[in-house]
Amino acid sequence: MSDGIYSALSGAVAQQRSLDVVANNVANANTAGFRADRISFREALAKAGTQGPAPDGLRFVSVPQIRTTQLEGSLRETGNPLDMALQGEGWFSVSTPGGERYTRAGNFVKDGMGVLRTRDGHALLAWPEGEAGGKAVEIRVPAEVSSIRVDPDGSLYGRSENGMNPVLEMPLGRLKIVSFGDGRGLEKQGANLFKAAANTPAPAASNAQVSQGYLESGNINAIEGMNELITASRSFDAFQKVIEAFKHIDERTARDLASRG
Amino acid sequence: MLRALNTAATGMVAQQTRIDTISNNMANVNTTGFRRARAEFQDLIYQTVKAPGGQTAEGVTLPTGMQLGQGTRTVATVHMHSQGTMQQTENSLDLAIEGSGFFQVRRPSGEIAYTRSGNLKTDPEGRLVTVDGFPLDPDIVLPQDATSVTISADGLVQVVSASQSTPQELGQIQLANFVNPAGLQAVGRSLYIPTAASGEALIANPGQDGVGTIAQGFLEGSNVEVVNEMIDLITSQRAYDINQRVIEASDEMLRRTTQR
Repeated sequence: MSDGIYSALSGAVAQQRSLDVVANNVANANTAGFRADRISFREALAKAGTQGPAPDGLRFVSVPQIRTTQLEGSLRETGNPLDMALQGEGWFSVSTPGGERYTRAGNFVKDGMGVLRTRDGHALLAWPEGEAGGKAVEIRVPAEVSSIRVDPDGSLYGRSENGMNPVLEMPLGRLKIVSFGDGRGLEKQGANLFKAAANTPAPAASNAQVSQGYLESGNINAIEGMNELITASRSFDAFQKVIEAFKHIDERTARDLASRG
Repeated sequence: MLRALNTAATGMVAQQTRIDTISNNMANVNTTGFRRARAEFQDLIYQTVKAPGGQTAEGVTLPTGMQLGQGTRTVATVHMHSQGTMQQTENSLDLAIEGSGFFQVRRPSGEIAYTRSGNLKTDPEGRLVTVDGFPLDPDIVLPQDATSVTISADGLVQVVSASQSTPQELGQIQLANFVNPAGLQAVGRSLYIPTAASGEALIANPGQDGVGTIAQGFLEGSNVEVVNEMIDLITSQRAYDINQRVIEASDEMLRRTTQR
């Protein structure tokens, strides 16, 4: 039996994985702040001689690696004052039961108590002093505040307009926006959240700018998606053909040997 | 293989939901006080095959892990409470709210519901009611022989009648505001009811405590922007197409695998 059939099989399986990744990217075409995944393959030489039947082996298997792309998605104007988008490398910090998590999806809401939260009810975190650093807490907007202003540096102000009184503006803290460098230390958790992977150093404050009234679209490129889709299905075909060829060789070998015996 | 099929299916369902939302917005483009909705999505939980930062056999840290996504889900359809366009009607019982706040109306069940649509009428007793006949709360009753009604920016209702030529004060329209108007539940007929997410109604006179003022002779149109909805419709349709192509590709792979 030829061993090559296993290389072809690993290739076919790898293309299935590739399709899975493309499927998830395009399914999230309208997910705010979504980061697309990219799959790449590494050839790994199966360790010849250690466990394999013969030490002759040039048997390559394809090991898929998935990396989350950190390109910024395009900004879309929504006009909703609680929609915020980040420009530059940075992440909003939210408090979840499992600890602090990070997101680029800036579609926040006020709950019935005035606390700013994500759509899933996780509280958005801010530094109360107005300066980066220290312990971050949730943001509570007082009931009398009629509109919220967010500065590009993440400072939040609540404006209240009360009849004859002049407009009052009160500081509400500064959004905790943190930086993870190239984003490799982050792990996707689903629900638009990322978590810091094990061994990732604590994040630093970020210089990303906040745009109020905008949302960041996912960073999916439809053309790339279609391209990957076609590549995956054509490569899968090719591997199928190779498997077929090996099958013929093995069949013929078995037949020829049988007829001689 | 089946994972890609299911993942693409979640994408198609999400785009369907988005198109449903867009079509409701478009259908209500001329509905007084209508608030457009927006469908919002999230990625589903990831299957972590290899965690990033893990150790490979040779004692080398994995630079990237392997996490396979499972698709998307609709997390919310949110009503956007931005101001709609003001249309002048010159009808003295057409009221628009400039700023935040809602009119309070009493439903037949006795519960209070909230609305932005101020195209009021009078019922046979002279009460101010909505087009569905639900009275404003508290009641404002116009005398039968009223000749003109003036409603000030702060909600004071004054009436001149055949029997009384000096303006007579009938009461004040009060507005309700919510900490989180996006948390209100739409119940149709342009009415909203409060939920735990919206918080309790905060009643105030127009122009005070952050609520808006009343403009008489105006109606607030919907806040639907047709151009934006059209663009959303196009992007949804294309995204739907691409998800469908993924299903076709998966199907083709399965077919080739099985038909040998």
